[in-house]
Amino acid sequence: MVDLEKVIRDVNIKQGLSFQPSSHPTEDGNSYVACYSGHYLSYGEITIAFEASFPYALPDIFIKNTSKPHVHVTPAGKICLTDESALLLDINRPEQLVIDCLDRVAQILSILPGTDLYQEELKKEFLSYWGIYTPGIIYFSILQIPKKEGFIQEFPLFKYGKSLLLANSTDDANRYICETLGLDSTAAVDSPEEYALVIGLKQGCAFPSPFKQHNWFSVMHYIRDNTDAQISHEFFKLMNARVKNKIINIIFISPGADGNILFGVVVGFSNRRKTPMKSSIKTSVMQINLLREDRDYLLARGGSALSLTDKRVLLLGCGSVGGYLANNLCQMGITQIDLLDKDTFKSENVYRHFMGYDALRRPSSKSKADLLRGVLSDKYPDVDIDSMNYQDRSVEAVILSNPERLSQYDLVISALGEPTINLAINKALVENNIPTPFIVCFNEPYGIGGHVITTNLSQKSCLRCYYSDFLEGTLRPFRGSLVAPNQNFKKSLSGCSSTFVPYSALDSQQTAIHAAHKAVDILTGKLNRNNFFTWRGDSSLLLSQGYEVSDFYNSENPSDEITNPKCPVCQRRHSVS
Amino acid sequence: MSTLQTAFTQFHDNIKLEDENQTLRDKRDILLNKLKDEISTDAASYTTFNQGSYAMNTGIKPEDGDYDIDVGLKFDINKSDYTDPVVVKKWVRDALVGHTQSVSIRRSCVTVQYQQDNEPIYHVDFACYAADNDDGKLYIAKGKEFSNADEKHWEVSDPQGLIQLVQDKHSGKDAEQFRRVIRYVKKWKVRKFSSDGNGAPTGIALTVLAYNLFSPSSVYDPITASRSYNDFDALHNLIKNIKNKFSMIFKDSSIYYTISANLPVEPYNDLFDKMTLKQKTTFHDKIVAMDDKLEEVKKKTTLSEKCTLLQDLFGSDFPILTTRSMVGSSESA
Repeated sequence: MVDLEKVIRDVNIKQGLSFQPSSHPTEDGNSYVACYSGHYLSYGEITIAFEASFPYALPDIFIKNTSKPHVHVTPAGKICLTDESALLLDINRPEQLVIDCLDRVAQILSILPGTDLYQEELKKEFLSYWGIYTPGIIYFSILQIPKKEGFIQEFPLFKYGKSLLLANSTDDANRYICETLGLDSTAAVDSPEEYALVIGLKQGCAFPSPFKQHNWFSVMHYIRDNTDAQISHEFFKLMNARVKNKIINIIFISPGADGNILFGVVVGFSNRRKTPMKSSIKTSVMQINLLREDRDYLLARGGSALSLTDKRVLLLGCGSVGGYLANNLCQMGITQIDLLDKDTFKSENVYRHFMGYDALRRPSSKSKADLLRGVLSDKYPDVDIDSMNYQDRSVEAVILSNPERLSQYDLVISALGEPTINLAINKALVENNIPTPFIVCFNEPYGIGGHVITTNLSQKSCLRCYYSDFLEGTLRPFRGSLVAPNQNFKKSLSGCSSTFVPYSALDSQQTAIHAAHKAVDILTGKLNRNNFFTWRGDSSLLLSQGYEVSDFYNSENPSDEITNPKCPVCQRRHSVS
Repeated sequence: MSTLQTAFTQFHDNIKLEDENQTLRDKRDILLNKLKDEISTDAASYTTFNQGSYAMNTGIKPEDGDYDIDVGLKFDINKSDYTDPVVVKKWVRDALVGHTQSVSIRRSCVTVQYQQDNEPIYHVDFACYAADNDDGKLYIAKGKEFSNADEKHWEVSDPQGLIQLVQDKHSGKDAEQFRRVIRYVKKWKVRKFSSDGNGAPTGIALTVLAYNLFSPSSVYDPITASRSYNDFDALHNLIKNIKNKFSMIFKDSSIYYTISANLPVEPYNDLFDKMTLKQKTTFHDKIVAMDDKLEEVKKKTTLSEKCTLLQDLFGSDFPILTTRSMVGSSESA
């Protein structure tokens, strides 16, 4: 524990200040072990409040006089210094930590309303201030925001606990309440409680000051100034409606580079007789905070690319690599996935599969694809997964008998670990001129590594190039293998009916992560030529089993596209082009 | 996985004379010990070295089983002190005579034929050199015991220089392919020319042609970070180059082809000058036939067809392989 008395004494001496022990600055300030107050520059009295975690965490600093609307200052006067998680603190110099905090206080308090810097800081922090004077008014939103600029549209608000839920439809609201949140059916809603007028603001719109008590006229001014003429016109047309007592909810959507920002107001009309809303005088305006639960927001919050939600991906193989990969794809925002796998999920799969015993306990089908679809749909209710429940779920029956099917997808990924089938798909893509990109990913044994091969993006090479003799084009083992050729890695713990190749869940996750990266890169247009990626693990386990690594294990990944002038599948394409 | 290169590799394994053939070394050492013990006290002191294809790593197994080892004996003598070089050869012959059934003085060496029951036949050729000459060069003793005086002479020679040149021409894996291709051509020669070797180019003549006309053929695989050697292409290119080396001449209203290749070390003699024009023309025709055959091989699509045609050129040491319908895989997911 740091001697806080000494720290403050040092700060006082170094900075010429006179901070003295004081009481807690807030009612809920019980977590502070010590507080010191004093005058600081021209900002009046401020309080430095230490938690027991100091110096591993910075002290909180409060300003007493909050009459001026400062940015980064809460209504209780707490100054938001900085995001500590982005800082490395020198805990050996606690007095300097306090001095640096005070410097930051001076910086923040010197930002005056009306200046450009103030507007800029306000914009950054807008949502944390909006509604601070009306803390109880929080709506939830699962609204899928229309992908267009400038609009005005009514959407329903549903009763949701003590609050309201903004959604596109009753079905959406119930799906969220019952499926996503798993609440029982008594929480389900029949019809909207109210409606909200949702207004899409124009690009570069300003933010209303959150520190001001707005009135109905300032709201209408704000709408006029920050929407396109047509939207504004439509709004005022609606506001011609005559009302006596009414409450309307207006939700604003401000388009931003980092995604949309939602905030709102609830306006109460209490006219003595029916009066057009736009000229109503007896009104009250309260700020509404919106807690977003919509997919776009959650995906962006998860760091995924929003542009991927309309992409359709075919994932072949729901085994160890495929299972993790399917989850990765969902989390990256690739939410339209077809899963094809003919195997059933067994207990022997549990320790290297994304799904565990809980999947086995599901009463439904034991098909890997069906179970994975179920698990992922539970996790991410917005995803649209099809487990391709055909009688014959083999790639041969579903895909190879009708290769044109491949053209329906934005991306095909094989996590089959079956080079024979992968090469057949490759051939079908090349020969039928189907431009769908194709990712093949698989592990090699004993943690030695894994590969992600991306093909059908450029024409110079194809998957068969990796399996063709460099001199003669005849079929050969995978050129990029990390293990020396002619070794058998199949193991059996219980007879040859259940052979397996030894690798662990970590290997599959590693391979799946790299494959997911490539998938995102392809779907976002970042990767547009064929690519070969290998991750290398430690070789000691493999070597200890008496196996040998290949020369490539000790080489670097090639930076250029891997071609093969003797490839019997794509060389014809080469000669044509 | 079987490829044409695999076939060539197997072929090479079948025909090459091992660099470190213990049996041959033993035979040679027995004779060298015998020579040391038995050589006349009148004889000059000497040192020994390996020469010939065995020393150059370009030897092939003899079809008739008569293995050939070439040993050089450098005597510390000045050739001007020994006007009759056969004197020196006799030191060697006399020391070894009686050891085997046959020891004889031949034009360029003393040959010891060596055979035991149920064992392959060997012969060891001892070439005798005067090594302590005024000009610092090495001279080989030429001539048989009863040759005319003008056939007995010292001839300037640089066998170790030749070995060095051939060794240094290419390096690493390229050099291995160079030596493999020389062996292929030598094997072809044995198959295509009469067994007595009459009218055939000598091994050293073919080696020097390769020395001048061979270039390595390989492709680099950036994934495996390794080079794949293409012996077929390297051989075919060499044959095409040899074919182009011939020049056509008219003589007695007939068309002949001639070729020459000088030894790249002293005495820089033309290694084809012992062949008649007719023999050189035959050599030419056989080279053309080989080129045609190799062209034909190129056009065949299956590995077994290619191998069958190559067997026509090289005999049954060339294996007939089939492309397998399955290869190993270490993939799983």
